[in-house]
Order: sequence, then C-alpha cells, then structure tokens
Amino acid sequence: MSIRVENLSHTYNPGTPFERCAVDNVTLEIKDGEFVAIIGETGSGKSTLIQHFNGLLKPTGGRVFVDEVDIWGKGVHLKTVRQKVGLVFQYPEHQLFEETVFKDIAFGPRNIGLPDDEVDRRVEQAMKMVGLDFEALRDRSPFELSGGEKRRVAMAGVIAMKPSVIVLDEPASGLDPHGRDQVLAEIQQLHQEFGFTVVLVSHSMEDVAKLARRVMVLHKAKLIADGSTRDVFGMEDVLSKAGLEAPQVTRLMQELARRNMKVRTDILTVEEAKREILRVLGGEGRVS
Amino acid sequence: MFRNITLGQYMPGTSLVHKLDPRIKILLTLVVITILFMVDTFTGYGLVFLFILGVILVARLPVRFVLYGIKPLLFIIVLTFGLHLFMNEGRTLFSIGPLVATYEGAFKGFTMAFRLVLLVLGTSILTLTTSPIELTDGLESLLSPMRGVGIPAHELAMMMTIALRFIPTLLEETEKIMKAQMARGADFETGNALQRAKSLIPLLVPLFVNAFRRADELAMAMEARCYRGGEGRTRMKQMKLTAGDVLTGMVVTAGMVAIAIYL
Repeated sequence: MSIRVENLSHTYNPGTPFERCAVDNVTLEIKDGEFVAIIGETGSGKSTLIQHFNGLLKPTGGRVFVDEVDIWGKGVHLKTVRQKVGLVFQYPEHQLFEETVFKDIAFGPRNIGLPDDEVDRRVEQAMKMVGLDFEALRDRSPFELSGGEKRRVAMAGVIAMKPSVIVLDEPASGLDPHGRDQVLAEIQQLHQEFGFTVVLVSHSMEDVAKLARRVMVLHKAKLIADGSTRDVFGMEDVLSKAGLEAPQVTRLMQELARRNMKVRTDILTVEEAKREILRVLGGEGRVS
Repeated sequence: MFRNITLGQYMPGTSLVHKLDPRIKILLTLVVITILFMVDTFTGYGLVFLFILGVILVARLPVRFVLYGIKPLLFIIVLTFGLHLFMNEGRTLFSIGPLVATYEGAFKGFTMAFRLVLLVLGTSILTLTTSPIELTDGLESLLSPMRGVGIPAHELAMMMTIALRFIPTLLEETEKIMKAQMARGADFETGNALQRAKSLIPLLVPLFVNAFRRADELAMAMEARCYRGGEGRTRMKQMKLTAGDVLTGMVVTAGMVAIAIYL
C-alpha cells in the first residue's frame, strides 16, 4: 500500500480575508512497509497534510493517490480509502464516546459493515496489538481508564479497521513518561511485528530518531527535506531554518566533532553514541 | 465546513467605526433596528441601506465578506418573501394552482425580505467591528444602572464573554471530532432523519464530555486568580466617551429619526 501525493496544495478559507495556505505544492511518496516521520514547527502544515492521506480534506490543488488510485477520482468511495489509511488524531482519547471499551473499538469495524463475529475478533486482536487486556477491559467504561489506556483504546479503534497504513499525529503527547514509552513501544511493534506502514507526526526528535527510518521536514507549508533519518538530522542548516533541532545526542556528537574528537556525527541514539565514543577513546587508549 | 460562518465574527481594524465607543455602537444598532421597523417606503429603505453601506465602507470591511453573513439566513429570507407573495390579497400577478401571487404581496414580501437583509447587515457591522470583549464590556456598562432592579449586569456580561470566547473553540472541536469519527468510517451525511440523528451520538458525547471538562478547568483557573464576581473589579482598558462619540451618536440618531418621520 503506498500513498503518493502530487503537487498538493491546501488553502483554508479561499477568497476571504482569513485565507491561509497550509500546504504548498508538496510532492511525496510513502511506500509500503516504510516508517516515515513528518516533523515541523507548530503551524507548518503537518496536520493539514496528513488529513489528505485518507481524504478527510479535499486538496485545493494537486492529487492524492492511495494504491495508485486517485482518491478524488470518479467512483472512489472515501470510506474504503479511510479503511485502508487509518488516521489517529492528536489526543485521540477525546473522541471516545461509547459505554464500554469494546463498543468503542467496534465502532469502526461496524461502520464498514463487518459481521458480529468478525467485529469481535477484530476488537480482541486490536486490543492485543496495543497491549490492552481484552477480558479485563472490554466491559469497562473508557472514561474511567488512565490517560495512557484511553489513548491506546482510541488507537485500537483505528487499528481494528485493519488499515495497511497507520498515520499518527503526536501519539505520545501529554502522557506521563511511562505511558509515553509504552505507546511508542507499541507503535514500533505495529510496524515491526504486524507490518503496518507507519507515518508518525511528532515534535520529539528523540522519538523520531529512535523509530523512523525516513524523515520529512515541513516548513511554512512547504516540504523542505525528505531523506533517511541520519541524513536529515545531519542537515543542521535545514533543521534550524525549520525551527527544529537534531536530537540532543546527535548535537552532542556534532559538538564533540567540532572540538576535534574524531567521532562520527550521524548518531541517533544514546546507545550508538556510547559505542562510538568508546570506540574513539579505545583507539586512543583508555581514559581513567 | 464551519469556517465559512461570518455571522458574529470580529475583524480587527483601526477605522473610525472600530474606534467608536462600544456603548454608542450598541445603542446606534438598536436605533437602526427600531427605525427599520418603522419605515415603510422605498426611499426610507433606500436611505437606511445607503447608510449601512456607507458604514461598511468607512469601516473598510470587504463588502463581499459582509454579504456572506446573509447566507445562513437566506432560507428564512426567501421563505418570508414567498409567504408574503402568496398570502396577501390584491391584484393577481400570477398563479400556480391554488396559490395566487399578488402585486401587493410582492411589494410587501420584497420590503420584508429587504428589512431582514438590512437587519443582518446592521447587526453584523456591530460584531464585525467590535471585539467580543468590548461588546460585553459595553453591554455591562449599559446594563449596570439596572442592577438596582435585580439585573446582574456583570454576571450576564461575564457569561456572554465566556460563551462568545468558546464558540470558535467548540466549532473547531466539533470539526475535529467529526473528522476523527469519519476516519473510523462514520457517516454524517447520508441516511434518513433517524439514522442521521443517531450518527450524531459519536459527535455529541465527546463534545459534551470535553465541554464539561473545559468548563471545570476554566472555573478552576478563574478561582485560582481569585475571581469573585464584579464587585470592586477594575479594568485595564477604561471606556471613555469622547465628544466625537457623543456627536456621532446624536447625528446618526437624528438622521434615523428624520427618516422615520418624513419618509
């Protein structure tokens, strides 16, 4: 399943004094099985962009292809597109509405007209995928769960529709460190074990560095960089133009290199940094 | 889909109309509304229309944008015209089956519809050129003499401020929740009346839950800043009537009364 966007533009309130261009001539392709992150400052157009991936917003210019089909072409049902491309909004727990966790997760599968036994199976599966105990939680009210649990219920609600691409807008924001780690671990699992194509929108460069293989940078409605995570986080000028910073540990390595320590600077995680520093130090003899 | 509502929106500006004291603006809007219900000649309507158009131009509001404000009321305006057209007795204009349109009906329908349009335009000028804060401050100040007869001016104004403040927030949130549910295959547009009403549950439940949560947080935040009603409360921006404000008020009122009396 691939998503391809060609010369996409979106202008809000065209023709009024409140006119604002949120996405400007963006072309990109997300291939099957990728883990892509989209980063950019608040207001850079990330949320607007991802709402085009499943046809929630209609482009004011350009085209969107899902599986090589123009989703705004004739005879295309947006419901099918939305089943294929699952979108988890920021603070998805704010959309919970049912009396029980089960019913809430079943909302999506029911909307696409699945029979009851299939709905049951999907809900159980989806809850497992996000690490929720099916038996213990199915009849609880979603409103009495913890923040992290609520968020995972909401994610399960999208996963239960069995999309092949899952787009997440700031999935870890507003959670405590524990909930954060769990949600991120589950996202990684969704990608690695269950084979979802994942598009992650995030403000946390550390999370992006840890999870994504490819990074796209949006700045003032334009796509200004698109490449492997290592390459993009190496482009200091592009990042600072976009109002972003590479992960702390990458910057640490860059700073060490500037101070004549012969380390590689394309380091993304603390673990990598440790190995690299030890390697360099080891070469010079141990420091006490 | 809610972004197109211009009714009740504020457009910041620095024109004379924007700068006019909100109390005068509110009173003048009331005057214009009253006059609109008193005139019944074409010349009268024409003059009021010219006045409103003049104010729109002085306020440097984009005319097309102001006219958008009529859109939500178009149905009522057309209905009014239709009802008057067919429900009046008089010389026949044309007839569709048992319905007979009359000249008198057409005239009356037209004036009523025009009156409605002018009403909307006149009041939207007020909201377009006055920030919600100014508006409620103005109302509070106008209502405060009535505190003696048990009208809680400050509380009313505060409730209005809060309500106005949260309209855009709630609209935004409605749109967001709708989209989130649509991403899960919800369908708000098709189906019969019952199905459509049912399809609103996934929208309304989260909306109410969030609204209550927000109200709770707001109350807490207000208390944390020691809010305890209007008594002894001062303002950062004091409203001061200038000679210009009073003069504008008097000239416009006189003009409007003249229109009502002579035309």
